Amino acid sequence: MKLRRQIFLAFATALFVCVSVSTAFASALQNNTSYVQRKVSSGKFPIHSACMMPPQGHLIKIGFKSIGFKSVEEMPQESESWAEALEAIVEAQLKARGISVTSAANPLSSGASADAIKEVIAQVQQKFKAVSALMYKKPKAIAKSAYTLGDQVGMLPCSENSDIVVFVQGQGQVVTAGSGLEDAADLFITLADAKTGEILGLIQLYPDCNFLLVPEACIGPDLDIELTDMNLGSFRKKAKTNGH
Amino acid sequence: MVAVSFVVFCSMLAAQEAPAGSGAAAPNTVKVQVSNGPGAAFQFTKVDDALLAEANAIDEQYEKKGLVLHDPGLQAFIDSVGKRVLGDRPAPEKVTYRFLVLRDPMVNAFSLSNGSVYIPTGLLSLLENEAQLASVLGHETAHVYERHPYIENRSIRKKVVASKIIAAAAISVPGGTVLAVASAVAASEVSNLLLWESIYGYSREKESQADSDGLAAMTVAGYDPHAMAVTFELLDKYNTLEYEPHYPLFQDHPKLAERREQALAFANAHTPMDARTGTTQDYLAAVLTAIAPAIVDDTNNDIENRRPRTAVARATRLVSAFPGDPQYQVLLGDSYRALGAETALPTNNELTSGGKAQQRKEVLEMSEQEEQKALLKTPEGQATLKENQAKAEKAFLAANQIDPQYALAYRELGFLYEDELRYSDAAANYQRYLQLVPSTSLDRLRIKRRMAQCQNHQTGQAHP
Repeated sequence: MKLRRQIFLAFATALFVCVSVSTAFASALQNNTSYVQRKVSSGKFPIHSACMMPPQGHLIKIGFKSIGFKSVEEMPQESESWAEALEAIVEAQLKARGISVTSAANPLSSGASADAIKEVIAQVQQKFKAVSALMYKKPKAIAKSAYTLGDQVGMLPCSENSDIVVFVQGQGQVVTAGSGLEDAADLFITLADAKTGEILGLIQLYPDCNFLLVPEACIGPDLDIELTDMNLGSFRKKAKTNGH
Repeated sequence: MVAVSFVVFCSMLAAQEAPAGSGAAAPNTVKVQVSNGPGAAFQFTKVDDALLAEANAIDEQYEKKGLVLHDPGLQAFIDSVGKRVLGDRPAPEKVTYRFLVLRDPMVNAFSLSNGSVYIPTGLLSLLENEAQLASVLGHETAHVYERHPYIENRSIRKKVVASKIIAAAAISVPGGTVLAVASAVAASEVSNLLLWESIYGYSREKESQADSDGLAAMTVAGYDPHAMAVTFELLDKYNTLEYEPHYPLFQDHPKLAERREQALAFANAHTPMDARTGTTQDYLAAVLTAIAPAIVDDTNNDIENRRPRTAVARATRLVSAFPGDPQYQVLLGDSYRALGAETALPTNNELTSGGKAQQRKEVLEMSEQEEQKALLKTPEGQATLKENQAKAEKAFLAANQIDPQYALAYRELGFLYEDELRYSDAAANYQRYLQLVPSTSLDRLRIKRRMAQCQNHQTGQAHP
């Protein structure tokens, strides 16, 4: 049993090292992509309004020495500011397409308390987290209506007057200068039906520019391309046939 | 921007037959020294201050994200046990002890350098007596007293675990996911770094020191130290009803059996003569009453995160203890409904290696809907669904009987009947729900939508 554990730990450690090395280059190797349901890209499900869920950003800083890792640091403050910047970028892109945007935290005319709304947002985020683990892994299934958050998204006050609920999620690794490695980030923008919770579309971005210092200039153009590709909003092209 | 450092206690799990400690502080008659850590010998450096700032930032983040469960009764209970474990020892410099309930399915407690001790709902849901909680808090506060977060942060070990932490970060990057995460790991809102570190814990020496200090602290506070030994034993045998990707790592945490033996040796030598076992029904019910909000929160989390078996087990525990509470009956009904075509306990086939591989595939490769669809292809799956639906209905109707004004029971019955295509019954229950909930309820709109859909189904006007 002892030997088995040692073998397992050795194997696990080796695996982790492989994962960490491969991850450092993962973003550079991946292309921006989007997945969307046909009813959205064809215009059968017109999108005029969106409800923005609170953005989620997670940044870590990895320090390197010439012979290996030095430290890993959380960046709580930077993560928060970055998340807000990401939200602003997405919001601006949607508005540019004639899509009106409301915050999920806005009580509108519901008369609900801020705490009650916060509770619903937490529930929806929790469900999203549960669904997105698999969705990010198998995004092509979005086209087959494989994922749903359930109609509890309809509890958000903004859902009444919104067509979609938008989730913005970013994860980034910042490495110290001189390590020979580059910063990397993955951004995910998910669109869900505001009434049924069905996942309608997903955009995955892997910026190869300075996503932290100049997020708008770095991410905005790529997002624009993907949203156009999805045929979203008033900039819609003629109905597309490819839904990825 | 500050370095990650936190302290961890390897999960304290519930004892089935735990030799529990007393809720009341018993005068201690044994000679036990409780360590106060290095005290003034510990000198703060810039690095330490940065770590402290990070701990404060983590506290703020959890609070802001709504991850801290605020329930006055539960908080009072946790605080009372924490206070008793701390006794009259002064807090170290730059430490303010706070005991916080984290809305998270993890079964690992952890503490930060600033004295914040987080007890996840996942862990609390498993605890059955106060002494077990005291052992958790004793261990965690010992890490803080001994300045383990700072020492660890300065040590070489940080470099050793860095690769693991980076791997955890890799897992947290969804697009770069090599090891897909699911179940409790995916559900956890705690930073992946923190989660990963919590699985690995501290070095054996530091864990051992925290065990010793924690045992001493709980004993002096009048708790039976056997509770810590029992929790280690249970942790070693920890088994889960659902597939958990992190389970092997968790189980392999260094030398749990050894730590249990050490705790047992201490307990056998130092148990206070007057430490009460605290196993009376009244006493256990009082503890369960205090931690019930955490169990409810965690069960809802289980339902939303594809852990329906765990949800059924937890809700059953609540209903068994408090059969007259409609809230718990509804929770049980929800849990059975969430099971769908899945059995409440693993089948014999699922316990085989092939069955486990299949479970793994279902969790990591299939969505909830796909999994249910696959189960329903078999006659067994169809029969299980009917059985679970019947149990859910029974629980909802029981809630109705207990309190006909309890609105949630009607809503959940509506959901169930809609699943069963009983649209007329569903609509009637939705209507009753809408009559009972306040006009400001955020749920009204979606239930109205559902009711309209059911009525359309009845009149044959439903859209697919």
